Parts: sequence; structure tokens; C-alpha cells
Amino acid sequence: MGLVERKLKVFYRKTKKGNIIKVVREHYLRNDVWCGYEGCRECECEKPILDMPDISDSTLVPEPHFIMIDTNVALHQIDVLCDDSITNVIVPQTVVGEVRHRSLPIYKRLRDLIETSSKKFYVFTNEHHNECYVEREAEESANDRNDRAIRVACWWYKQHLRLCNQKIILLTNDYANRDKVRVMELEAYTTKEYVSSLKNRPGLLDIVASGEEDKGEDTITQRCLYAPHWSMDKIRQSLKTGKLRQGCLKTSRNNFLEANVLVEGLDKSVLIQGRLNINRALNDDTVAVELLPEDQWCRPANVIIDQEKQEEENKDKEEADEDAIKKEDDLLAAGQGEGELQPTGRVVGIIRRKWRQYCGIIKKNEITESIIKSRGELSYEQAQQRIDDPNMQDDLTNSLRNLNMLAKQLKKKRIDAGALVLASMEVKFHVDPDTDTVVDIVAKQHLETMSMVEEFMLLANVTSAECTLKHFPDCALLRRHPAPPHSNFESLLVAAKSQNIELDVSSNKTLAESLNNVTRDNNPFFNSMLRIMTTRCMMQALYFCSGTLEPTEYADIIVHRLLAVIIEADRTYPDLLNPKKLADLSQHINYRHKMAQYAGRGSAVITAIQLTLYLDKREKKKEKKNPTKGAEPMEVDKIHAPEFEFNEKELFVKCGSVIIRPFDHLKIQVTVDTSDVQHQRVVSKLIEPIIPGFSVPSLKRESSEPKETTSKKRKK
Amino acid sequence: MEVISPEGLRQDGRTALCLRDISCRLGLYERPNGSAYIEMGNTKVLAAVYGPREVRSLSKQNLDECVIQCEMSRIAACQGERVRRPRDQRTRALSLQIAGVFHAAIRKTKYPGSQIDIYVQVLQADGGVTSACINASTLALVHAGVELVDYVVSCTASINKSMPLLDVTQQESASGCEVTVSILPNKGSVVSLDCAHTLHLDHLDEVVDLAMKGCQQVYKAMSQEVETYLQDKHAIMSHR
Repeated sequence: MGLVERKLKVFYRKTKKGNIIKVVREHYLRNDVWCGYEGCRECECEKPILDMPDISDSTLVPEPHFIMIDTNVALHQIDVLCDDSITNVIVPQTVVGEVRHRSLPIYKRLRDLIETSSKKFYVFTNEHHNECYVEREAEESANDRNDRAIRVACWWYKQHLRLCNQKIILLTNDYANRDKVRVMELEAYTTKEYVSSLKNRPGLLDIVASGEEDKGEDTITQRCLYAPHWSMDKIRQSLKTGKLRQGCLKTSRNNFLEANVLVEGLDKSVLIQGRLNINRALNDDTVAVELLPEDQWCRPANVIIDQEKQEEENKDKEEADEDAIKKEDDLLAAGQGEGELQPTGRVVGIIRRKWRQYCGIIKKNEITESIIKSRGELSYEQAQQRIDDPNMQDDLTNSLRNLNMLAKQLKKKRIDAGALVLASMEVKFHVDPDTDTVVDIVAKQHLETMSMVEEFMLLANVTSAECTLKHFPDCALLRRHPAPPHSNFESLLVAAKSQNIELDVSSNKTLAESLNNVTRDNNPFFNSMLRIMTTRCMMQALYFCSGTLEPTEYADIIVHRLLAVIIEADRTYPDLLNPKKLADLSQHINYRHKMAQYAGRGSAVITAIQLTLYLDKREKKKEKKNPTKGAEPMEVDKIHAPEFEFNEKELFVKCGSVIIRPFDHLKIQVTVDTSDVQHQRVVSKLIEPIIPGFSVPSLKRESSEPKETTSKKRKK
Repeated sequence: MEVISPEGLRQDGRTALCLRDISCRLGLYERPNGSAYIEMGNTKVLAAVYGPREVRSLSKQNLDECVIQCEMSRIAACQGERVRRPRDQRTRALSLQIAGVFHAAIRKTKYPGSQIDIYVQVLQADGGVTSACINASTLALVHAGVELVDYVVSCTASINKSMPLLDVTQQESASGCEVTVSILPNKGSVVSLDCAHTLHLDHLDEVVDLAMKGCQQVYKAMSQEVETYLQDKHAIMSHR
């Protein structure tokens, strides 16, 4: 019992350094590797695993039998093996080793199967079996050697089991392997054949993975219709040597199967004919072209071959790609013109694609799939200038004016229905391009064009929401601003009251109207400031799924997908219509949105600090007015304050004889406290009204244009 | 790389408690007084003994007993990558260790004032190098006719995932440890104990026990070879 022979495995391996070392390992052969069958008299197996059922379930193999699997079956059909009806399987050691090498997850699953006693999977150590040992022959690849080892093992089993009248079959995916096995007078079947023959498990055939007839990777490349594009390195090399030419591809207007490439150095453009030669290049792409030999040069075709028409004609005919290509080639050949021969070539690679902007066209609130035809790009300011300039009367400007008019009408409609117009002053930082520092802070101007874009965006959103809700009443993802609780408004109301203003917050429409009626003659910013405070009271927009009650998160993508399903441009997937999944998704998006907002605000503060530092540096003691810039409430230095009295009910702060109410004018000094390098803060100090012991003197003799401030109370 | 498969076999097909194939030969060379060659798996070691002879440097001479010196070297091709120096700190340490081992085995008092030199050369190293050196030296000494108390037999053992392994290869010891034990097999006493890499104290006992059992098996193989050698010699002698 034990070792009978010693073999040497010799191979070469490359080390990390790049050296080649010769590896010599011992390989012992044993005479005590058992077959694992409990009914076998020959073997002295202590714990036999395999037993034989009385009847066979397969119509192909009427007698009860064992199954031996090969590597491909283990790798690709592991799901079939996991099925309860597959038991009494012999897994050669070769297969286990290969699976371990190729895929650890599948190896784990295989090991689990082996350990499950009810599955009766037995690992046969054929590599160390003195009768099953197979050495690699010259010119034989490792894979072929392994396949041969499995065949030999199967053959050994057949001989061995003959003594106890049992049968074994080999399961393999490779047709070539299967045929070789049959030559050895063994029974072999592909997984598909075997599974189809099982009487009691009709559903198992679904689990059989397809793609059985993979004869290797060569066929995949052969079946590709277009020649694969060359790698960028190869193209670059070939361009240098002159083997390839680079140029801009222009497809022919009349003929979609023809294109021209304008190449530097050649006075004539290079002709590209046929779909295969154009090789998936589109108009205006920068392509690399290989010139064909002169005897293959063609003349440009003089027929008009229209792509859409061709597709229409061929729509109903199901034909193989090769036939379609042949047809096209025939068309081209038939239409050969009588001009001169033009240098002809083929596209071997695309250096740069011409990217186009695509947008949608909305027809009468109808949802369709469309492509944007971009006429140009304009910034908000540029568009506004165009609209305002009466001298500009070109098509683009006039259409802009029309859109503007439409937008105004849409807005009026919304406001009549009770829309709330809020303000949130957004700031813009001017950055000096040379030194890359922040040099100024300005308020973003609100232009008409901005409202215009806003209106159409809203229109698109509303239309999509209505459409999705109509088609998917219980799983449309919608977005709404929930009505804020009354408590949110309390601070706003009190502040307004201190200025003798009553705001009606019962509905959005009433609030809008109240806000519109509030003005202060001496304070043009007053209305905006009030609106800003109102905005702060609002709740964040929430996404929710119409099928559930909780507010959830929603992404534009989901809406797009739903819309695509509605217009049948795309298919659904199960999760899209699952309200619970959408609900979870929505929550996640809400969270991320909030965090992004905080991050945005934080970055504004940081940039404000940077700006203040910069200005401080530039003019050391320049007094800066703090305009209403929508920044976070600055800290008011109250530490050295003489007694300050804060009246909550009537909302004012009193110190001595000075009373400060919300919306009063103040002059403050803004600096950066850099005492703590890691936590620099913007500090504002009061200049006017003068409070002895608290306010600081003005650092600048003459004050520039006064700008309003508002003392924002720290929220309790 | 799993050292031992769930089926109970190691990478080379041995079970956990199985020794590698041992083959040895005595008397390869004419010039040294004794020479031997041993192969334990892929580990191949040559040993040559010069002595007992006159002491080289009189300062080292001991008039009560003999001086034992050992010099071990490795050839450049003994491992996968070429070894830079045949004699370095590591080999010097091992040489001292081997010499120390034979202090216990050679009847030194029988050769006062003399010197016995053992030269060991490692031709191929694949785990258990020290053991092979000691075993080869024993055989060479036997061949040289030096009086020994007993054979000195050495073997390695290791432990992998609570499974003790006997006679580990370099690949197997790299992921665990390698414990080398040398004993006087007939007396059963341990002459040297050495551990490479790390071994938890809890496992020490079972690993050393296993190594000692392995040594007995090695002793059997070695003594068999010596007997065969003697029988051949006797046969040749008796024919003359």
C-alpha cells in the first residue's frame, strides 16, 4: 500500500525579476487510490461515497450509471450539478485542480457539493493513480493533456466497474472531446443531450447554460462581421511609417455605402466603398485609412443608395449579415460610374469620434424618442443680449424670442394656479486666472433667459410626471415639495411682524400674493431678503414612489426608463416596476442630495473665507460691507458685549439706548480669524449703530456705496 | 496553494505521514577516507570525511580527544535561482551545527590529538537540507570506519492547519515551518533540534514526536544500504 513509483515534473517558470528558473518537483504514483463505490470488492475504501440507484432516469442511458464530469461542465454547468436530481458523480482530481485555477467562486461551490453527502460527489485522484497517470506529450497543450487525463480516468473506471457490473458515462461540453471518448468505446454525452433525456426533470433543461458548442476562441473572431479596429499604438506606428493615412471621413450624400477621406498629401480624397470597409466609422470622424493596392481601386458610384429606403426594403426579410453585405456590394458594383479611378482604401481604426450633442424635440407635450439637432451654444448672457438687440433678426434670435414669449405665458399660467416665486441669492466668485485666487464675489444676475429655460424644464418635468403616473399608477417616481409645517414659518412670521408685515401662509398662492405686496421704498433689497427668508422655511423636495406612502428617492434615470417603456423604446426590468425597490432608491437619493447641498454650502463658506483673506491681504485694513449674498449667517462677536437684551416676542436686540430690529441697516466689518489655522472663521464686527464697548471704529475714512445688511438672528 | 488536499494527499501525492523516497550510496570517491551520497526526495547531498588525521593547526590540538570540523557548502545551482556565494553566514552556521552533532556520536577519546574533517556539499536543495547533510555525514563516517556510538539520523517535520506533516519540501515549509530533529536511533536520544520559520509552542510536542518517528524510518533505509554495501564488499573480498 502506498507509493509505487516516483515521477518528476519538470517545467520552467518566470520569476518576478524576469529570470527563468527550472522547477523540478516529485510526483508520486500510488496504488491505493480507490474508486469510491461501496459495492466494489476490489477496493479497500474505508468510506465509499458512491452508491447506485436501482433505476436510471435518463432515456439515453437506460441502466443505472455514474457520471464523470470534465472541466468545462464543472465550470459552466455548475448550476445543473447543483440540482437535486444529479447525484453519484465522479469528479477527477484534474478537474478540481483546473477549476481551482480558473475560478475560485465556482471552486468553492464545487467543494460544497463534494462535501454534501447527499449529493454523492467523489473526487477521484487520477493524477496520483498509477494506472491513470498521463504525461504530456510533445506538441500537446496543457488543456489537451488534461482532457486526455480525464478520458483515461473514465476508461479506467469502465474497466474497473465491469467487475461489479456498473456503468459510467462522461459528461462533456466539447463535441470533439465527446467524439474522442466514443472512439474509446465509452459513452459520452453533452450536458444538453443528457439533461434533455431526463424524464422527471423537464425544467432542468432551462438551467443548462447555452453556448455549448464553443469550439474555441477562433470562431468568435471569425463570426465578427467587421474587421476589428487596430490598437492606437499600432495605428500611431503605422502612421509614422506611412503605412496608414489619417483624415476626416465624409460620407457621400447620395450613397450611404460610400465615403471619402480627405488625406493630407494626396490631392484626391481616398474613396472608401462598402460597409465593411467603412468599418463603423461615421461622418466627420478622424479615421486611419489603409490604401488598397492600385488594382483594387474603384470609381465612385453614380447611383443613389438611400439608407432608410434600403432598411425599409429589407425590414421584413430576415437574412444573414453576410448576405446583406453581399447585396450591398452588388448594388455598389452595379452602380460603378465612369469617372477616373480614385485611390481606394479601407478604414482600420478610428482616431477620434466626432461627438454630437443630442437633445429632444417636444411636440405638443408628446413624449417621443428624438435626436437633438444642435444649432449652436449660447450662454445666458449671450442669449439675453440677442433677444434685447433689435437689430438682430436672424432665425435663431427670432426663435429665441418666440420661446421667451411662450415661457412668459407658461409662467403666468403657473402663478395663477398658485406657484410660489422664491429667491435664493446665488453667489458667483470671480477667480483671477493667473494666480488662481478668488478676487471678487458678486450676486448672480437673474436674466429673462434663465426664466425661459426654467419654464421649459418645468414643463418637461410636469409632462413626464403626468405621463408616468398615467401609465404606471403605482410605481411612478415623482417629486414634490411637501407643504412645510406651520412651525417652520414661525420665525419668518415674527420677523415680518416686527416690521409690521402680515404674511398669509395658509397656502402657496396666498403666500405668493402676500410676498408680492411687500415693498419698502428706501430698501430695494427688502423684498428679496424676505423671499430668501421664506425659502429657508421650505422643505427640501422629496422624491417618492406613487405606489408607496413614504417619500422616497427618484432619479431622472428612472423616469427616463419609465418613459422609454411607455413609448416602447425599451424593455422593463423587474426592479423598475417594484415599488419597494424604488422606495429604497428614492431614500438613498434623498440622502445623497442633502449631503451634496451641505457640501455646496460648505464650499461657498470656504471660498468666502478665501476671498476675505485675499482682500485682507490686498488692502490690509479695508472695510468691507457685507452685502446680502446669501451666505450663512456670520458669527456676531458677542463675547465682549456689554449687557445685551434680546426680546423674543417683539424681536429686537437692545443694548443701552440702541435698539436693533430685523431688517435694520447695519454697517459691519468682515475679517477672517486665522488664529486657529485649521478652523479659520469669518468674523463680522459691528460698526454702526455705535454701541460703546461693543462696536468697532470704522477702518476706512470714507465709506463707499452703502449696501444693505440684515442682522440675521442665530436660529434658536 | 493548498499544502494538503481535502482528500488527504499532498502536492506530490504523499500522505501526511509519508517519507519521501530515500536513496543513498557509500564509497563514491577514492581519495577521502570516507564518502557518501544521499538523496531525500529532491534534496541531494554529498559528504566526504578526511580523518582521523594529523591536526592542521597545533593550536587547536586536543591531546585527550579528536577535533571535529565540518565545512558545508552549496553549489550555485542547488536552488531554482543561482546561489551567489557557496559559503556564507548561513552555511557557516550549519557547519558548526553539524560538527556539534557529531561530537555526541563519534568516540572522540579513541582518536586523541587527531582531527576528523567532514566536507558536505549540497547539490540540490528542496527542503530538509540540514537533515540530509547530517545523514550523509553519518554514512561517510561509517564508510570511513570512524568509531561511532550510534548512527546520527535526522528528519524534518512540520504542521499545517493542525495536521502534522513528515518530511516537508521547500514549498510546503515556506507556508509553515520546518523542524529538524537529529537522534541516535538505538538510544532514542535527541542530539539536535532546530526550527525554521515559526511554530506555535502547543504543536511542538507532536511535531517533534513525528520527526523522531520519521528518523527511525530513515535509519532503517540507511542501515539497509550500509548492510548491502558491506555484503557486496564482503562478497568481493571473499572472492579474492
